[in-house]
Parts: sequence; structure tokens; C-alpha cells
Amino acid sequence: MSEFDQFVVQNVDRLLRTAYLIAWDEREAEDLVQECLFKLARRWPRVRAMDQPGAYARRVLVNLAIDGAPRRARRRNELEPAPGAGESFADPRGALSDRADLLHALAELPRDQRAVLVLRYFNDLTEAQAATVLGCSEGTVKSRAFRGLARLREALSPLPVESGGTQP
Amino acid sequence: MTDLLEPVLRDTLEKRAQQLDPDVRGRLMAVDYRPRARRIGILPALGAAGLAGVAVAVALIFTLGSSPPPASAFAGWRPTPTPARPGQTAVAIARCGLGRPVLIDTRGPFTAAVYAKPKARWPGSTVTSVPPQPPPKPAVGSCFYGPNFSSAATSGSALARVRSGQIQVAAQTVSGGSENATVLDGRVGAGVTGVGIRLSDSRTVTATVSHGWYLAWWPGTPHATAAEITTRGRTQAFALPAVAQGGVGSCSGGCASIGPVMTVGR
Repeated sequence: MSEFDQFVVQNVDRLLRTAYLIAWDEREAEDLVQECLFKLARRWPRVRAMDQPGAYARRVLVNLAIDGAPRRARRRNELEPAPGAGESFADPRGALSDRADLLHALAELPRDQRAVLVLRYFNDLTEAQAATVLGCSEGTVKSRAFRGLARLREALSPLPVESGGTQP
Repeated sequence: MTDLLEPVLRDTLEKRAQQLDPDVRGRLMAVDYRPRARRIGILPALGAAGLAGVAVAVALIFTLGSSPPPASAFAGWRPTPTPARPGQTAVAIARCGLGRPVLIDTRGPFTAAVYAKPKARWPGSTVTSVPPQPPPKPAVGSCFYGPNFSSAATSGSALARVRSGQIQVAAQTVSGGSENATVLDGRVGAGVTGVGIRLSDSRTVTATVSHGWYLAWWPGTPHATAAEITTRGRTQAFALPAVAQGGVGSCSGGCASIGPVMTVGR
């Protein structure tokens, strides 16, 4: 197995899940990861010399997901129903009745806001790390995260609160 | 106090990510990502044919490898569809960039795909597309991908309703550089389970039939003389009108042309 193949094995799951959460569509996620890996393969001698090839891959992927979104959306709309159309969200645990609302709200977020939330709350990146991935300032990350969270809160009925924390 | 949105959001995203179909990972792992060709030129030659009221425009992209081409641009072609190798169709679909096809035909290293909106009719409007620009709303499109005849996207539209037991025949000539291939495709009527195309050189090409469509293609320009249509386990041959027997227009140097669309069958 080549070094690049090993890299794919180690990173494909995380890349795919990140793409899926940002694109909110399985087929687009598959296309995104495939395009990302094609790009990495072409640049592999340079990528492999980086300190964190996985982080670079995530950066390529996220930017593909954001920058190429309108083009891919047009293509999909020409031939297929819109992604997510008719999709239902179940709350298997039933513990949080707002789960389905949260998924719907996430699906309706602008992609740049959803990307920030995915990087922050799924990939567990700091604001500075998310800014590096997105190629923007920390302030932009903060504002997108703030707006995204605000829209999610708007879409939800009041969530339970707990004491002891501080308002960020 | 802090609300529970952030931990709930983490949990929700994690659960959403776990809903991914595991087959996607397998398909991605099966793809050969190594650079396979050096693109030295794009030849978006458009062929528009206006026979019998049908107007179609086609665009092709050719990528030529850095190694000398083999003796035939279509080496490895088979008259009967062959199982796809791992990653073969995924790569072709990705390169075509037209979404999810309704039909995929694999013959050796070549992949052909048909794309169609659910209610696409044929014939219809004239459209053109030159990837990587966004294809302009093709109601029906087809795409070819192979090692030498590397990528070709066609966009067109057509086809009226097809009756039970019948097939529609649209013939294309597609250029793979110095060689041409002939393509027959279209909708199949209810009950049609198999389609074979008899050629003027006595060969028969077995079509792929899927989701109400069929596609068969062969290198060179032997004429299609008859269509063998299998319905309810019974196969009948129907002579193809002369206009479908090849001769859909000359085509060379990276273009394709499409002839008129007709219906054959009982």
C-alpha cells in the first residue's frame, strides 16, 4: 500500500463525515471527498512533506464544500430533486423533542455558518484553527458561529438550562 | 447559566455523521486517485444535427495520456456489458459531474452513462455543455469515460412516450480522436427486459437496460441493422430504418452528432 493510500485509509472517514455535515447531502459529500482526494493525489509530494497533511486535506475539503457549492447545486437541480427534500429526521431517543427541529435548522443554515459550526463542534477546532481552515479571520469565525447558533436557538423551543456556567 | 445548545449540537452532529451509508466509504476507497492522464487540450467541438426536427449539441473533452496511445482507442471493448471494476463507475460518474445516472454501461475499461430527468422527453430542446462549466439543464445526457477516450459528455434531449414492447432509437456517432464509435440509446417501453443490436458485420451488441432506458455502443461505424427486443422472455428482431443504420453525420476530431429519434418494436 502506497503512502498516499495509507493516508486515505486514515483520513477518509473524518473527511467524509465532515463533508456530509457541511454539504448535508450524502452524494455531494462523496463527490467532495473524491475531488479532494484527487487534488491531494496530484499534489502529494508537497502535501506529504507538510506537518499535518490531514489538516491540509480538511482545508481543501472545506473550501471545496463552500466555494463549489453553487456549481454543484445547479448540477443537482438539473437532474435530481433537491438534496434533503422530503428528508425526515427521527429522534430515536425521544429524550430531546427538539432534535428534529435542530436538524432542520442546521440543514437550513447558510453553508458558511454550518461549516463553522461543524469545524467547532464536530471537529473540535478552536476559533483560530477554524479560521485557518477557512482562510478567514477569527473575527469572521466568531461572527458566523454566533449567527449560526442564534438561528439554531430561534428555531428551537427553549432548551433546558443548567446552572454553573458562564455566558460566552 | 449556559444553555444546552452546544452539547446538544455536538451530540446531534455526531449522530448525523453516523447516519452515513457505509458503502460510501467503500466506494471512495475503491477509487484510484493517482493522476492518470495529462490534459493537453480541450476540444469542445460541438456537433449539432438538425435531422427530422431533432437538434442536439454535444461537447466532448479529450484527455490524452503522456504515453503513446495504443493501437485502438477502444481497445478492451466488449459486445456484452462487463462487470465494473472497483471504482470504475465512481470515477466516471465523478468526472462526468452530471449527478446520478439512470443507466451505467461498462464494457471493459469504458463506462457510459445516461442521465435523465424523471419525465424527460426526447426529442426536445437544443443544449450544449462544455465541462467543467455547469451543464445547462440537460433533460437527457450521456457521458463516456475510458482510458484513451477519456471523457466525453453529451447533452441533449428527446423522446416522446414509448409504448409497451417498443424501444426508441437515437443513434450517435462519437469520436474518440481518430476513431469513431456508434451509440444507440433511448427509452424502453414497459415489459422490455433486453435489447440487442445486430450490426452489419454480423455481430450483435447486447445493450444495458436500466430504469426504462437502454444503451449499446460499439467501436467503428458498422451499421445497426436490427434491434432484438426481449419482452416476457421472448425475443423478436425488428429491422431498423435506414436512418438509424449509422450515417448520422460525419464526425471527427472530438465531436459527436446525433441522428433522428425513432421507435421500433411490435
